Amino acid sequence: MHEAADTQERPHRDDMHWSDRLRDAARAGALALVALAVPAAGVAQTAPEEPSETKREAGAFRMGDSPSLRLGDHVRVDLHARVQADVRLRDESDTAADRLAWGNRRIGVDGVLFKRLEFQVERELSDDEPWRDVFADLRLHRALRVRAGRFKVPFSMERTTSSFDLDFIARAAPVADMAPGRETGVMVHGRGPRRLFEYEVGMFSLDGPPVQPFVEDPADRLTLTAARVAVTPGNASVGLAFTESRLPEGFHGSTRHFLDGGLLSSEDFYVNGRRRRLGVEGRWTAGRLSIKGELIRQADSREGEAVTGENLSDLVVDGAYVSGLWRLFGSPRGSRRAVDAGVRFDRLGFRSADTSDAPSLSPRADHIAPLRQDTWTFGTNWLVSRWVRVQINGIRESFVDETGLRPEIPKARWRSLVRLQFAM
Amino acid sequence: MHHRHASARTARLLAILLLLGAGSSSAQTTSDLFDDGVLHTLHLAIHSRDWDRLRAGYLENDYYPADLTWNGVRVTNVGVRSRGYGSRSSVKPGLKLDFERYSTRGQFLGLRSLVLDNLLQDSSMIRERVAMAFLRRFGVPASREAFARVFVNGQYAGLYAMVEAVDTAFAQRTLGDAQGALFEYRWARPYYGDYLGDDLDLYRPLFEPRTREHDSVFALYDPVRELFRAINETPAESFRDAVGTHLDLEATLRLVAADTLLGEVDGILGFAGMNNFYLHRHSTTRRHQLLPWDKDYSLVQWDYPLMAGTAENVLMRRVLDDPDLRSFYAGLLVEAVESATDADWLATAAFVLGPDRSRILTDGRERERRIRFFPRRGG
Repeated sequence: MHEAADTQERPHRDDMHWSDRLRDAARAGALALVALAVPAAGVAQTAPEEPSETKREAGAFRMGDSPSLRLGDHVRVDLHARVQADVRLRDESDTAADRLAWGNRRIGVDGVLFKRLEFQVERELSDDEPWRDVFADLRLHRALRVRAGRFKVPFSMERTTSSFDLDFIARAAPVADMAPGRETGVMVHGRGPRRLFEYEVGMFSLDGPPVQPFVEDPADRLTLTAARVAVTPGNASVGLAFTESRLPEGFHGSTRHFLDGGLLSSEDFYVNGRRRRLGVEGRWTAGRLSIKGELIRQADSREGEAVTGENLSDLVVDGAYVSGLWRLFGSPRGSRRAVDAGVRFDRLGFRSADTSDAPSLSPRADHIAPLRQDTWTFGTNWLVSRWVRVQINGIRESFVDETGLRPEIPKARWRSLVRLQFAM
Repeated sequence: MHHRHASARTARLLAILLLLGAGSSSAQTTSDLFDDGVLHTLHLAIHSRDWDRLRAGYLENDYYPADLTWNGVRVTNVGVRSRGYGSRSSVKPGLKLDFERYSTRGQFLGLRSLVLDNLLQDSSMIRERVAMAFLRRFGVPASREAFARVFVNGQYAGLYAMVEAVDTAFAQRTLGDAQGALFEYRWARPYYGDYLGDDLDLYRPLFEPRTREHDSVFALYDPVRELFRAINETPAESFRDAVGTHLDLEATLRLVAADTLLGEVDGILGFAGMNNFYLHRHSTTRRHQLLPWDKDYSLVQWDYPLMAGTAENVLMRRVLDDPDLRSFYAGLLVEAVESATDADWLATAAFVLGPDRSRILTDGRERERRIRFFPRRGG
């Protein structure tokens, strides 16, 4: 879509939408960061954080966790190839689904130029939207970095973790349904000494509207503002994140788990106004045990959506997960030849902010009859080598309709999956 | 002191009276809603975009949420859709209000749904109501009706007939059986009650389930197939008993007799086959019964022949071939005439619309209103 737009007559700068400018700025920023990095090379010689590696050969090709090309201290380029395959052992929710499904199949490069400029380009081999991360990241100071391009919005610890590094095969339902993915934008970020704190503030141009608008308007560019801050005292980490974006008037339709469960239709509820997300995350590690958790709340306004044309209370999707992972065998912190066992509980809720009226399933109800999904995930991770990992998960999903207004609620169901993963 | 006690007693008495008064005014029932001596007023609040979409898509059955207010009673989150066959209109849409659309517990005065007939095919605007009133008078389970002025978002939308929907609430009220299977007959082609064959799929397009929708096809339609097999294939000597196990013959013939008196051209013995009825199967007796619906073509054609349709309709043809049943049916016809003429009931019914009749009949905004059928009393 954007390539086609580039072939058209370029609009006058004053006519360009703010988000178009942001998108252009992100692209230009990525190029500018590359340009800035070259003269910064001299400064880099005295950069405060020298890599720990002490001996390098100019032009050396190395084979570590992944193939790597190094030109002295100035250039490091790593090549990556990653592939996942999932085998369904049992799926009570979809017995007709294929037993074998290919997951992500990606190739990419990342690296560092002149110690100042990091970059990453990653492409999915089988997807309608093949480009994943495509960004440049300029380090002006440990506490001040600028990233531009296409990358994950800084919201949710689990969403910003690569799918190849997750503790369980699937992300927790609240994360999967609410946390934004990759968008094009510009972000300022940095961290304090000893990683005591870190922050990220960015502005993004959304690829498409976050809801299904009543009226499609290709010219309606939407932007998203995101901010995240985390502190890391000792073995623990606590973070707070926030996003805000405008919502065009349209169907909500963003709770995939309820849609897949057949409990909601994508055209069930209307929204209009703004979408605000708030996330709280925490992590604690002690020896072989690590515990993680997140709380996420997404509130969509419904301006002018009552039958009388007045505002309705916010439509709220919220949820949380908590997980624990125990290293059974292998080095507590290593990633080679180890076996982990873990369990996670997550809850995803769908409701309205106001509950004073009688609950209803009406798309214009002020009090939407709440719905909830609880999921237990039991998993084992076998790190066969530094490149190969096998994950086995047993998942139990159940839906809860406390009001009993819905005629049919599916029974709790089990799924069990095996994931084979190669990542280099 | 005595004066203070007296004041307190008076205050308590007043409070009790007020409470009783409040109680009596808030205890509205469906009898109040369908009081046909009153010109009711209904207010619908529906989002302007939804109302525009409903009117633009008046041929569709898409539901939109609305709030309904009647006589101080407000019910929120009602599902509203366009309804009707030939009467569908984008200007004055016929409406179905479904109180359970967005909640399995949503009801209005115990009703699950309510039909607002736009009366576009009833140019007199009173045929439907009078016909239903006669059916009820004659002992046929029939919908209650009353006139209502309908306002949508404060704008006058027209004079409508509020019609009690035929659903489980109706079946419970009239037949004492909310658990039975209820089908709405769907006219697709002239059908006269022939046996269509063993294939259950042949009956499905004609009889659309309105209850027990999740029952198996066999559970729903095998009894229907057997009903028509019995009507068509039972030998004459055992017709009455055999069909009687599948069909409430007395109730069915009572409906046909009433239709005949009303000159119903689009009913059980209609000009294009059977039409405008529901089929109910009792949950315990397993017997079927026909229930009337949509009487806007009643009382149109006074000279509709007395025996019209009886030769084509298999059931009536075989009923009239049976001496006992023929005699019974003739008796019902006589009873219908007597019921209609008793105290000049039918002749006056059109004009006895209660204390609000002048408002109903002289509502200047009703362009559709043309009372052309009934001769005035003594005229």
